[in-house]
Amino acid sequence: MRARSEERTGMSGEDLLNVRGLRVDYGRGRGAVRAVDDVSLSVAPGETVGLVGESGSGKSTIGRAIVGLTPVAGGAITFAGEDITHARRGRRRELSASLQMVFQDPYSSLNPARTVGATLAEPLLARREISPRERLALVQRALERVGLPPEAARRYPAQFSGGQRQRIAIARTLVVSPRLVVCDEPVSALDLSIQAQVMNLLADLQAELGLSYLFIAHDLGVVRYLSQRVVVLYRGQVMESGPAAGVYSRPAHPYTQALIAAAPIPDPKAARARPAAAAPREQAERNLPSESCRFASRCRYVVDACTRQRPPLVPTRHGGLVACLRHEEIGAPAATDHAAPPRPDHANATP
Amino acid sequence: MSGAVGLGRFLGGLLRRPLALVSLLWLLAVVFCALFPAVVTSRDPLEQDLLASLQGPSAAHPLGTDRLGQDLLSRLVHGGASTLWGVLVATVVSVVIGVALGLVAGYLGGFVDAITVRIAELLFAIPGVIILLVVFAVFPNNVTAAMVTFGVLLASGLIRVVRSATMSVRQELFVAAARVSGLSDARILYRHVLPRLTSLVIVQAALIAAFALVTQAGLAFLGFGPPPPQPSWGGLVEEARGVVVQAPWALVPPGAAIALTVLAFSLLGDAVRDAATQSWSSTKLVRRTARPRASSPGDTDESPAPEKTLLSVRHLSIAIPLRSATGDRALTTVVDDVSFDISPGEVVGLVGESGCGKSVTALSVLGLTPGGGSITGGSCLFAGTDLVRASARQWGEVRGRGIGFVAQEPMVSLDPTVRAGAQLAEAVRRHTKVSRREARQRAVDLLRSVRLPDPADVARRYPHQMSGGMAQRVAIAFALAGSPSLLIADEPTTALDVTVQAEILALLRTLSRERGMAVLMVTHDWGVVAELCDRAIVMYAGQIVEACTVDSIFAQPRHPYTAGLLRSDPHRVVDGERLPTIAGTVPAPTEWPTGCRFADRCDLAITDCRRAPVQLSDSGPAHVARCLRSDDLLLQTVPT
Amino acid sequence: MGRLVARRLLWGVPMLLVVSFFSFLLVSLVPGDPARSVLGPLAPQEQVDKLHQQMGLDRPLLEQYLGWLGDAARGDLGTSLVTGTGVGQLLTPRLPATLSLIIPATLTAALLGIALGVASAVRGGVLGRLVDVLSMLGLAVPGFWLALVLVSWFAVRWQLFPATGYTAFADSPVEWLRSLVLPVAAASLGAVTAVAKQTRDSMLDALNRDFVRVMQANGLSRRSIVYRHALRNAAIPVVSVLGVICASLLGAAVLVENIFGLPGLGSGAAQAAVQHDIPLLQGTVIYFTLIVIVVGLVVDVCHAGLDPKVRTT
Repeated sequence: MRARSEERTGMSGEDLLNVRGLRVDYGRGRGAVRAVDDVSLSVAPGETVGLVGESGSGKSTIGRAIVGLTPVAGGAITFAGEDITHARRGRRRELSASLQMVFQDPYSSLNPARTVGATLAEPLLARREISPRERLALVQRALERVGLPPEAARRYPAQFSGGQRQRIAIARTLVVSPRLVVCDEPVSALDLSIQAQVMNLLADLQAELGLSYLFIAHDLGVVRYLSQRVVVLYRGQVMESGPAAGVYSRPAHPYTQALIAAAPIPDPKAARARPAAAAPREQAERNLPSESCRFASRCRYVVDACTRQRPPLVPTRHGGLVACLRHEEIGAPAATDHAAPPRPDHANATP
Repeated sequence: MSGAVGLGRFLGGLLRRPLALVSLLWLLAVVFCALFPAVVTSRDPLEQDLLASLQGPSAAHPLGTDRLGQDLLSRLVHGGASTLWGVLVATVVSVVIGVALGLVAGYLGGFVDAITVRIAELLFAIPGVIILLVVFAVFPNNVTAAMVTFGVLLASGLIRVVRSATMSVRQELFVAAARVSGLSDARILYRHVLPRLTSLVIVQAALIAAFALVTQAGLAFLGFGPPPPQPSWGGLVEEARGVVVQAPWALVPPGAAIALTVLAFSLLGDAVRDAATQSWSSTKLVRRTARPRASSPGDTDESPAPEKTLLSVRHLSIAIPLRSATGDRALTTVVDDVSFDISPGEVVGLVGESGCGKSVTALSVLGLTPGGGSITGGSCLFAGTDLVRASARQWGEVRGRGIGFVAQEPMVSLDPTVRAGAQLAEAVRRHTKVSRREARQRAVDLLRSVRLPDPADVARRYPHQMSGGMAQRVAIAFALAGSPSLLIADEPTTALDVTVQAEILALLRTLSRERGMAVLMVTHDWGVVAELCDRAIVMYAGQIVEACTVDSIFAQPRHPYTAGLLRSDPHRVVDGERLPTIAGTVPAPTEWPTGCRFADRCDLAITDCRRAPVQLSDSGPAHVARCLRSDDLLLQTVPT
Repeated sequence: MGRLVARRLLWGVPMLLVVSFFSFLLVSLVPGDPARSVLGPLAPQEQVDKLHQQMGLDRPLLEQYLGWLGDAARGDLGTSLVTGTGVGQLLTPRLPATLSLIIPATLTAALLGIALGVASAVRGGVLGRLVDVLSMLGLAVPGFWLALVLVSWFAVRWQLFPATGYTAFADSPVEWLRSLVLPVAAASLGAVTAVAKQTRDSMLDALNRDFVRVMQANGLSRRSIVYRHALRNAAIPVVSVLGVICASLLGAAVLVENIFGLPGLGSGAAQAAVQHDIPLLQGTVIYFTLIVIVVGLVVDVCHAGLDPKVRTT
């Protein structure tokens, strides 16, 4: 165990999970793509941290890097005080008792050719001291805990609905006693009425077992409901982070604002009241210098300075962090008022 | 253990197939003959009887005799051994090399994989029979050496198949989950990868065996088999060749032996493949079956469509062949007595969860019922045509020109081999008589009308060169090519990112207003309904449970299912509150109850609800709901 | 496209090297003296020693191979042990007969197989089952056996076509055609059925793709959907199978040429194997490999034409 650090610098020694400057590359050589670029985040015991972003934001890659499914190119991942960035297979096997993951698609995350019981027993196979009988008992207890009958162990995944399968996938993490569960879009493949059941189940398990979650999703609304803190990603970089309620009601970064503005509002009056589209996309994504704000090409507030440097993460007034040069000018309460200032004239904005 | 259970199920499934059983018995018989020829026939294959040469079948010689009067049955039975030995050697060598290399390459990937692929490519390119001739030239009459070589050459196919299967299994989430569960590579290969490969390898091995048998017989025919006068199947064909004019019958026994054995191998392979997939995929749609004709015409006039209605669906019922819990396939009603209207320019949302029948309804309006299903009753009146009974010519008028269609996945709804511009131009020319050049110009105009910034550039692109949002805009342009008055959009934004979704929704709204085009929007997302629609139709378990304007459905839902769905939306929930849920799941079409289909999940359900089907009834101005207690529901929701 | 062709041709070089080395390696594996096995057990020892030296067997294997390679690069594939003639001079005249067999057989397989496959995919029902049965038969009935049956009926009993022999195209196009009907039929039965099955499977697959439904829903004509869009997508795997079939017809050629007495590379190779004429066999291996390389090139070009992903990446 690492000595508890004296100063609390936002990410302290009390964190269960601490990710520092994480970099993940896909591919090799010149064709390599940096999927995750200098991302830092932390999860305290019993806390839920939401990781939000669209496809290509690197959010799932971060989750996979934490559980050791994707090699890390740089940075450090600390779990319970131990550096697990490059943990070997043997160590990973031991870690699986306390670090687990729930995947997005409950149809492909369970092997269709194996019974639920056989799949659920897998996390226990690494531990030889557990007898087959104890194993079955643990599997059945985990199934009951997620609201399924113990007989489910004898059946095949095809005999369950999507929501039930996701419960089984959650049960797989509970046959051991995990401290942190990485949830990779656990409800996005589920129907609305089932989604709520699974989200409540996750909340109940957290209250009961004191679990920590890293909750990955593309939907800020879902993340806000479950998380205490959120981290907003765009193309592999952190745009904004902070307390969930604050980020949702007072987004400081133009990307977060666009994300919130784009989410359809399930209320016809509010939907009609707000202006048309958010960030234009199709003409976007032109080539930018590598040292620039990744969002610059889509940003309505962009100035020349944005393309000259990567904006550092700086504290906001509301206890969060934001990577935007102009966040103080534009920090409008986006969730209620979308009449943000128009894109400034370049001539005026250039310092 | 579950593995044994799975194997038992698999074998049971295999032996229930008569062809597989017959093939297996034939192969066993052939092997038995090859191992114990003396049990089958007492005649010596080399015993000559020149007085009885070239005879047809008789009691003494069931298959006749050859030129030297040798008994053909005896020669055939004794000749099986060398033939089968060659097949066994080639197959075993192939399987061992193929599985080992394929597994390693597919599982490890990277450098090892690149090398293995090259090796397989090389082996594949080597002209096999010629190499075998070289082998025979240096090892005369050595069948084993030749078939070992042949096995190595044939392994290339197996390497490829095993490699790509391993790769696809490795990418499955359950393998990632197993790694997170702490399983070692060896365990993952044993528990998750190998079982998936078994049937595949058996199928390939059967093919290899069949191929090896034909090749081995062919070489023996050329004289490279066991040295004469030792019999072999190929050699018997060669002997028959010499007497083909006098006694063509001699061709039959060895030919039939070879053909039937090859047939048995390949039939067994096919059966293994089918049995293997069936043993664990128990709830799948069956393949298309015969189409029953649409029935019950003439019940359209009881609730006539109001004036100026564009589309009027009346009592539409749809059945699809489904496998029930007991495993029988049967035509099952999945959409039950659905009626609704769409006025010109109106945007209507068809809302529901998966399996409620909303997509099936939308596609059936276009006459494209999925899954081999068909419309079993009702009518769809569109601009004076009943689409349920439309002729091919009438469909030609309606599809594209009257009704356009946009699908869920933009990347797969365009032909990947044709440029966007050419696909659009084809649609334009189908709907209007214009020259090729003008059609190209119109295609670019269409791309501009869906707000693509550089339409000429997009026209030159293939689908794989587009982003998801761009492809969906092209797909919308495709649907607009015939200037339809109704657009049916089946979850067109579900596969897209939130910011792209917002743009596509905005585009659909603008297009609808500009062109006065009605839209039937199939969706599960209340946000999409609120943003885009004028009216909402909520479906549950194949029925419409509620229909009204969007404003009143959000303000005063009159069906407990609608109310429950709206409440459980995390976007609408108050911070810190527990999400209200609907217990249970949507019942499968095979398990619909007679009474209210929602009763089992409903807090308000009373005995009456379960007694008899509940009818749709008026519960306000332009508001219908299928609920006996909709007034009580109103009382319940008003205070909040 | 140019780069694609260049890459495929470049890949042919190591392939030729490996294949030729492999055939050298095989010869070196012979127990005892290859020269002895060529000349037979009765030949006097000094004759065997002379041949041993002539074949270069007294040198190390790699040296033998490099020597052969150097000659081959200059177009000299060695001399036949039986006739003493240059291997190239023996093989090149045999090329037309082989090509006259495998090119028409491949074309037959392509035309008939694709037509049958498309028809059974689009019509289904009886035709579909017919293709199933035919493809089973095509796999099961060995080509050489079928050839004999064809001979006994069409040549011996009805005398419609010659039983054996080959007439060069230049001598008489009609006779050339007549001499090829039975061989091509025998060689292409299996190929036709294999192509038909693959075509049907990939056609059904293509017709089930989403874009087909979208096109149907938006009113494109059925003919255009089936023959322009679905068929083009389905053709991509079919072309690969045609390539495989064309290469495997080289193997069938050995048997079919032998039965019909066609003076091709295949029947020559069978004869060379009987006579242990190893240089001639090695030369045939090179010729066959070259044909396989060309077939691969044609397949790649067809793929590039059909599939824009191949062309643009």
